[in-house]
Amino acid sequence: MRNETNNQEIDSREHCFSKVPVPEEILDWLKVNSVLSIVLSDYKKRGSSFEDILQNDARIVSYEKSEIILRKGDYGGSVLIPIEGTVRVNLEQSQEHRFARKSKLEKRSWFSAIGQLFKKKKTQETFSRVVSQEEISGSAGRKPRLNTDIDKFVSQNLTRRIGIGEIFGEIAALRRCPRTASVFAGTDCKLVEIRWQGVRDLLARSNEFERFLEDIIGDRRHQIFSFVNMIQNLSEDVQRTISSKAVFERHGSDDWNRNFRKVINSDKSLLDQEAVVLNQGHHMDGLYVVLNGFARVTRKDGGQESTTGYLRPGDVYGLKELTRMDERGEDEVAFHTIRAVGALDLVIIPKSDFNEHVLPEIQKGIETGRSNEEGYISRELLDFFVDRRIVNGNQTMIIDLNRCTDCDDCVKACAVTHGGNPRFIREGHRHAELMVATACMHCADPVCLVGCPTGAIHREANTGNVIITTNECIGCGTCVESCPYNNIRSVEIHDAAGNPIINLETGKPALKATKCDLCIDQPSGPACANACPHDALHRVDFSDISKVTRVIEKITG
Amino acid sequence: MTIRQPKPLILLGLILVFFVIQNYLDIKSGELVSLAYESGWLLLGSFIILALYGMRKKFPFLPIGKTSSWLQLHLGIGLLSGYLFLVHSGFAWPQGSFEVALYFIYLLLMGSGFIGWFIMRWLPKPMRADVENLHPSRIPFRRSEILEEADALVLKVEEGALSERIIMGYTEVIRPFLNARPGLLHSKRHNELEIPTPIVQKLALYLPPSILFSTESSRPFHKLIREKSDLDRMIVHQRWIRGWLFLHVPLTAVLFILIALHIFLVLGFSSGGAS
Repeated sequence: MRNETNNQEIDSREHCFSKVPVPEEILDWLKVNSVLSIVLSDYKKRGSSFEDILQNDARIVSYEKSEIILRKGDYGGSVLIPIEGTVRVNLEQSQEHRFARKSKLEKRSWFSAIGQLFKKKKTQETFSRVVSQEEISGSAGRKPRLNTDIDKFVSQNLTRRIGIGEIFGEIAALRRCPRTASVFAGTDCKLVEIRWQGVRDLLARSNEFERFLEDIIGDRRHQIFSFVNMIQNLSEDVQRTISSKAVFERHGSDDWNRNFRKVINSDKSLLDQEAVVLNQGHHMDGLYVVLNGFARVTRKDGGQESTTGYLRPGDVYGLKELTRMDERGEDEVAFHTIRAVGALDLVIIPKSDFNEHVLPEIQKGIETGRSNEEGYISRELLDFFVDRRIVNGNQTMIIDLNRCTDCDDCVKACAVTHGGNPRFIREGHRHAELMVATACMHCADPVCLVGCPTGAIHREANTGNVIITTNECIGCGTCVESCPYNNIRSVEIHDAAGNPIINLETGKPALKATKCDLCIDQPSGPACANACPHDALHRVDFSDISKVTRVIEKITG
Repeated sequence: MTIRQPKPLILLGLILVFFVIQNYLDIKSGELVSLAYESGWLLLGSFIILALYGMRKKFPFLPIGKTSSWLQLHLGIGLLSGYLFLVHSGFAWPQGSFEVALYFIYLLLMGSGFIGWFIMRWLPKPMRADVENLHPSRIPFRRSEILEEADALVLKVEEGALSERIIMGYTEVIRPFLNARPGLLHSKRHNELEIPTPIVQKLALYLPPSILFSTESSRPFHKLIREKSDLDRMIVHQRWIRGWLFLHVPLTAVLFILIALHIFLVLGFSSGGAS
């Protein structure tokens, strides 16, 4: 009888963060002993109660001593609050390598690569190794851990204890940027993890909590600059000074990836749907640095507004205007309009601080925005790239339709290197003689990473490629739903005998997410690009405008 | 047609190889028998390199240069082999049936290769000119859909003065066309109606097409005929793009057999004099 009640409870929690509810006593404890007590001090009861929000968006997680809780550079969509044990944050940059993900994908030898040709091709994803039920359901106890004596590590290195009831992980969760520090379990510990949707709901209901989090982020926000080319080389003191005076802004919608298709198919002009960040002709109040997301740069000439460039994470806008202002000693206006494409997080460094701290440090070769002032790429094509958010790609697969003969050698090559199952579709958005294939673009803003419960989908530290560690994937489909480009698929997995592996908990076939892995384990790199005999398939990094231009020139002649 | 400049390194390498071979053959040109041997072995070497291109395509995961670079090398060596072939044959017409066969097969192989290269560069653009957003694998499904749509349309033709003729035209001309598979060449297009001219001519027996496609109920037929003819054009283009390989690859196999026989005969019957 008790089991039946439990099962019903579990079924009704299908859309919750965890199938297991947060125990009442822990909720009560949180209300009194954690930062969440601030929420209750001015909680505006609109719809859901505090308890409802936590029951829906929180779960209890446990870590054993020396296990890694957060990795610097990983993406995450949740905040954590320790409720038991010791949790520590590493402050020694030199020790970060200890937290780095151990790449399980080593390059194959030539012998092993050639061996792939003789393997029997399967029509489905097959695992020759035994896949445990724990791996399928995500209850496997394999969490990454620090391979060192943890007490010695703590005594020899600079770490800070995160107090019981304190909050951490909020910058990455709320700004959707990579984790800014690595956190590990100093002893066996328990934490409450709240996904970003829950934090957003709490923020909407408590001004006090919003102010509290902003203060915390403000104190730590200089860490955000570690990902911005122009500022990362400045000293930490200067970064702190800049960040204390800088204005952080967020434009557009957090859920852009979910409503992306609706937006591009709507009758309204895309320009009208995008939030204006800066208007052409308006006073330049500072340097605009993109932290996350994308911006469209447009210019109005003769009444007609057209796209002239785009900004990606780490790009800046306003350098030209501010430099000219400095040279001439008079106020300057913005030469272009900046619009948020999807969600855009940016920081505006006031012009006085820019002049004092950043301008002297600016050296040749610093990346600014990706402008197309030379006009190598047609404005229609630029619109196509920005409208479809293709500028997000670091490895976008672009096919020259004037040269592609439909021979499918690229697909066959992909199949050979992935056990007979190609990881991309040679179809996609078209513009004139160019097609963007349905293949993972290894995005600059990898929205697929946000919300992965096991961290199976991650960005490789060395290469920047977005990779799925298959044995950590529990097939929940979060990344599949999050990818706005339909570039990730859920597939049923089979054992060596070809039988589907069943998740005994749900009674359904077990799933895993698959996508292009850029042939990370192959001696050659991406087999698709290697295989094209007609030089029709290109992998394009939109952060490098010169390379994009070269490819477009090749295609359009 | 999109032709790109050859990769400089490959071009430079080929020119260098050409001059080295030329110089080597010049030295050997005094010794007629030896020249035939040397050029023969060089020719065999070039054939082996040409055949390696097919092998390279099987190993896309090996870091041995992009397949597109190999194709350029394949084309360059193909040209070089032509020169070597002429040197080997002494710039003379073949004599005897075996030599004629060898000569003929080689010319066919080289010709098919260059025609193939031309097809690959020229056809992709017109192939996609009419059908933009359809994957080739979906063509058969779309063709059956077109036929179903047309069959449904004809049932809706309202009774009237022209209805009988429209139905006749549909049964005798339009439906067989929609049901037919394209051949190796596509039909000429009618200038105004942009559908195959033979269809327009056949339909004229029942109704002038300008009248047929002008009524509300018959206009959709024109759209369907046009779409089917566009799909046919795509299929025809694809047949050419793939079809030339059905000549090139078997000819390669035949040539290798003949070369093996040629070497066997030359070495077997030279009674040591040549060496």
